[in-house]
Amino acid sequence: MSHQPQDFSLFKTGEVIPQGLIDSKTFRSCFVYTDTQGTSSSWLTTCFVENLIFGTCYINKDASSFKTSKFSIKNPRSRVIIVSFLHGISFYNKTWVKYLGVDPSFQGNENLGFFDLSTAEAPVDKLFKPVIAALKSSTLPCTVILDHPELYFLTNRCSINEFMTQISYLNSLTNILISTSADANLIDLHETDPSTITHRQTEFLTKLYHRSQMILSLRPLETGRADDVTGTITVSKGSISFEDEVKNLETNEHQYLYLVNKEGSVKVFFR
Amino acid sequence: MSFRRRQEVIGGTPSGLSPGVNSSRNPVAGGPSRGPPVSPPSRAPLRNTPHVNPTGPAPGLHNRAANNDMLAQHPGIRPSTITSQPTLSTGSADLDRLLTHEGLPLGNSLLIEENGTTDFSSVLLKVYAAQGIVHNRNAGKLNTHVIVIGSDQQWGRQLPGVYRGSSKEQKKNKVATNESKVTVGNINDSNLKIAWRYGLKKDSPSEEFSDHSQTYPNYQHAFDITSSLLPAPAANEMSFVSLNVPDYSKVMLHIQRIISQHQGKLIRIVLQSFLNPAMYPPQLIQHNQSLNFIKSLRHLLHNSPNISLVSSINLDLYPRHNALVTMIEMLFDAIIELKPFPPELVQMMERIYKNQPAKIKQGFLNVLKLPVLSESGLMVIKEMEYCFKNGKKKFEIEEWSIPIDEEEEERSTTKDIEF
Amino acid sequence: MAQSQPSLVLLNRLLSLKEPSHFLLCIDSLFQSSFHFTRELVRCLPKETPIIYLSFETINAPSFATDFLRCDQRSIQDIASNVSKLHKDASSKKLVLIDSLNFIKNEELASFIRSIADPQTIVFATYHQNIPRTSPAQNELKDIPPALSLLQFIASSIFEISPINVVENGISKEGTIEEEVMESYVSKLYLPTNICNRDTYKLILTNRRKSGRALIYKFQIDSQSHTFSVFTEEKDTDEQQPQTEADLLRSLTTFSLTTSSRQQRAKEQVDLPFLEAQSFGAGGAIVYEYEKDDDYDEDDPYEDPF
Repeated sequence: MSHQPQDFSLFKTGEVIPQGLIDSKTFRSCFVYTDTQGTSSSWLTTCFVENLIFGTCYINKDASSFKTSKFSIKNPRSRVIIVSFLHGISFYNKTWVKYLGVDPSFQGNENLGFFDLSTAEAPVDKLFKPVIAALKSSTLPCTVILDHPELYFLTNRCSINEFMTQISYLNSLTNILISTSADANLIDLHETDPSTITHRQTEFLTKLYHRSQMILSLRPLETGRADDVTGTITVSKGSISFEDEVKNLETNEHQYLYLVNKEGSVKVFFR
Repeated sequence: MSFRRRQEVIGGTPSGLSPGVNSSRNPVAGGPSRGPPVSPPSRAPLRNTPHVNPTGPAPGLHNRAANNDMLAQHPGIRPSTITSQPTLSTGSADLDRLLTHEGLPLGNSLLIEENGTTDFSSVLLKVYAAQGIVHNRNAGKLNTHVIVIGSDQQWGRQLPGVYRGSSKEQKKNKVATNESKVTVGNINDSNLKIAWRYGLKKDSPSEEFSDHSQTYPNYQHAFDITSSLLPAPAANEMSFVSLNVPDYSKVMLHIQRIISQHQGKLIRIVLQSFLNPAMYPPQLIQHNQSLNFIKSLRHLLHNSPNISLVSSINLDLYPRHNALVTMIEMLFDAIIELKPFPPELVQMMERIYKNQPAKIKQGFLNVLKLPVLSESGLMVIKEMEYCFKNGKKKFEIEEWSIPIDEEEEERSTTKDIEF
Repeated sequence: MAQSQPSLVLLNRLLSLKEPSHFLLCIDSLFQSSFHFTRELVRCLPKETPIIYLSFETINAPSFATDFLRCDQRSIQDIASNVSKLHKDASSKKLVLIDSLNFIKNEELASFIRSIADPQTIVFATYHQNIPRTSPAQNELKDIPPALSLLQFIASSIFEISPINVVENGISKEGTIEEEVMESYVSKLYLPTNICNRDTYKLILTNRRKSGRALIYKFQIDSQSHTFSVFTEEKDTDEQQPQTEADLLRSLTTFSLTTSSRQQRAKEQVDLPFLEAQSFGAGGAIVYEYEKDDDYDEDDPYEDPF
């Protein structure tokens, strides 16, 4: 059992988000990553943003390798739109300054858009209107990241099916990545009362898993806290596979151990 | 000897002028701090109220420059030891240390969860509020405003005063003060000034500061929970927000209005006993309402450089396996859980430490989230690793160690020897 | 060869729509979805069969679908009338594929299936059993049976799909997982790696016959090579394996002195909190952290753990 730092990849080719997926004109993918109270996934969001824009990954190589990439925020591999229901952009800016080289006062631009919906109360069919407008006007490939959307449907009158319809529509326009919480207290497969938080979040998670190609789970160690391990990250296949244009993509199913330290750098180890 | 005495005497005087003091002896000192409610400066913002749009974005945005100035000069703010962002004291030195920033960074919220029938969390909320008021009194001008959600003026009158040493030390101080009255009268003004300076330089015995106290002398104070803060917080130091409303939007408007009336001040929000059915009407407890409220508060905090929030919730009413609590926890930046010891453990500790009462603790303190660190992905959950004890002069937090029954051990060793 | 098995013949006939079955129900889970099996069905269909794909959750229209209908915002009446208009005068049977029945209300399920299925239109629909069921909002509808029971009752054939827990070579028990463990994973929505959603999986077929009998068959489907085989549970592995220590101990005492294979695996998976101490490359270093109550005497040369 060695604990040498390893490269973090989602696909057998060693890629995080493959070029084929970004280039595909017809195939739209949906990846889900779930976190819990002790294992917040915000660092993974930054990792995805970096990879989508620059093609690099700060976990694997030295943190400034994005500077040597042939891509830049002005000329990204894929445009990124973050729709956050939990954080404002100032939260992400702190890490973006370091890992994406943006200005501390960065407020988003057309290649790295940010929508703060943390207090959104719009009806569900209007919720993503500005996002959809941005997607439709874009001539470059785009990827949308939804950050903890459950905070919307748990506090607004909106059924999971209505919400899934909106996600489907977004997904039909672009690749999407969705982060959401999967604390044990929020999951009960036998709950039947649709007015409870547990039922709604469980229904959302299960329905989401059934339409995803990739599921990543960030969890604390079951054996308790450790000083040199934050938790495990499990890369699993989703319920559906890659087809047609991207049928050659093979998920690198794996469980890693990872460590986030106070400076915000992340290391990944094989289990 | 005489020099030393003089130092003690006059050094005691400034802290005598300071807030926690029962100022019956010195009514003049209480005067100025009570003054502002009727003085023009506090009326001016009131007159301005109609111009402030309470539904607009975070009120902190209106006056960001003024707030930044305030943050740089405020005695109750220091940079976080790990992220350098402006941080305020929770009024408990041990809790400040536990939060790893030496306090609660501005724009962040702390949730104190408590199990059982005890009410230790309210002690922490009160020192948090009292610390803000003390900053007002010490600076001699209003630099902090406390907003209390759900409680009334009665709550404000229960705030503890600053700890002024043990009863022995206090008596000594009193004697010295009386003596000094004569002395001070005899020395001229310039001498007094120098003596004052000495007094300020010297750590007063009541405030047990660690190293950083030199750089941030008025950052945190120790509170004596058996005393009370006198005079009680005035209306221009503390506002109360009623929960007697059909939905939280009124509450939010009220909070925003108060904040806009107190531009350029540090705002400490106290949300006591969140969702307690005795204070919250049933419709406000429903998860879509209550989560929305916490979301709005969170949004307000994250967009204002001068606000912090401390809240408490009872876990007997809302256990941690309740999904609502999980979601509330998701929206707070820092969370600690107070878990009083079961009676058997208390009895055992009392028996084992009967000669060392300082070692007897009252419960476990679990850390569930820490400001900034948790959100950036660090795993900081520490359960059963700390314990707490609420004493007269401070809320003590220590690493937990299993009490060892030495008597039993002794018995077993003697047995061994017999063999 | 294996085709001579009567059960395999039945499976092939069902998948090529030769049996008089109108409603084929596929029950899947998060751990093995119907994705691969649906594609096996499509492979077995007679050529020229029109495939109408009703999508409630699918984003990418599959290439095999003759018609792809987004249904997530339509009423069931609207869907049914749309389906009936398509391929009206096709000479062969047509297949209606429904990606998920979980989006249809309980009270509408039976009438929805009835309005689409007829002797010329076969319905193949998936129901995800892990999605929590929803009790109806109105009280007067509380007596309607749960969706899964209802569907199982009206289906003429039921395909139940689950992960195949044994690795292909079947020699070691590695790569397998016990049902009990799997259930604990299900409840946490945790997907163990290299177990779930593989292209080889287990299929349990329940077929209702005209005679009223219901027969149950088990198959192993390999979607990579497109082969079906009868699933046999491994029972006789004990005989082939040499006697282990555990076997020797078994007859000696009534106490349980051994660890079961499951316990053994659980034991191996435990990560001790401090990994530094486990990396043997460093050469058995002692990782010592000073704790509050440690009695550490600087002057004592024997105290130093290093």
